[in-house]
Amino acid sequence: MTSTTDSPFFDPMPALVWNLVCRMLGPIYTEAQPHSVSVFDWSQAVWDQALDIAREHKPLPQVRPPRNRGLLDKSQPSSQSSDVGAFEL
Amino acid sequence: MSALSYHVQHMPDPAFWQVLADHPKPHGQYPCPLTLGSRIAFVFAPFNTQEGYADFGNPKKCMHLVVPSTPAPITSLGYLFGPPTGMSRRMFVAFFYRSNEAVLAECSPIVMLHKPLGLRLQSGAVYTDFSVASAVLKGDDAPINLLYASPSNLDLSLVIREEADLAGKANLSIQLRVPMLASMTVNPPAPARLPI
Repeated sequence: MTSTTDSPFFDPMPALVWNLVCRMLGPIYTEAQPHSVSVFDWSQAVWDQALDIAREHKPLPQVRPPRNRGLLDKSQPSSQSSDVGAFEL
Repeated sequence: MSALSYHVQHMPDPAFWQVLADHPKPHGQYPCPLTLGSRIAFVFAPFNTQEGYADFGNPKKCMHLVVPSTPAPITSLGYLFGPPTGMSRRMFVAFFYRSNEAVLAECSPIVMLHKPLGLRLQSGAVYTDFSVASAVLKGDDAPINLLYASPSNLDLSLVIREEADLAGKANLSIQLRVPMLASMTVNPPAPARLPI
């Protein structure tokens, strides 16, 4: 017979939280896409092509309407920033 | 380990966001390259990032996302909100294997609630050493305001709303409504500093 104290879930909090996660996420969850990742060809040429296109890419001038401007300008990276092109982590 | 919180980063590039909104096309060739702003090189494909995500009885699949093999290990992931279509927006996840190179696919907002427990490759290998970006990207000015309800129980819902804090920074407020669950606060955000 196995004692419950031997279980990695003896601490009731992880088990309780996990149970809540399962109960909450399960019914809301919907699968977004029908295809498996293996359906596609992920060869090196794909990555190289994406990089080549990005190097040649010239984005449109960033002209924005005035709505929400004050709110959102603070989170928009400067075009001079070295962080442009990356997510803030 | 700190709690996840998200602020909204605005990255306008109408061409990119429109193309993204139009994918996947019925006869489109995938994976396909997409470029955002100042040279984020994405490779987009309509694959199911959440295959096995809700297999809660399987610790190797539950709350894991599926990723293709990439030229370098994936080190971070971030979320993007597509342009509004009616009352909704599509959501995407970007898997970064370099700071400005990523795989892009559609996902469900449910994945925002918890850092994925792992990123599973087709080979079965799993990345666990990755971070989740604290910024979500969008390209338009309309505030994010989304409601997702369970088809089987409309009282069970997820609400994601863009709100400004005292410093004027746009953050995502996430509310989960679960019948019979005690009203509780999970990982409340730290109070914003006053802009002094």
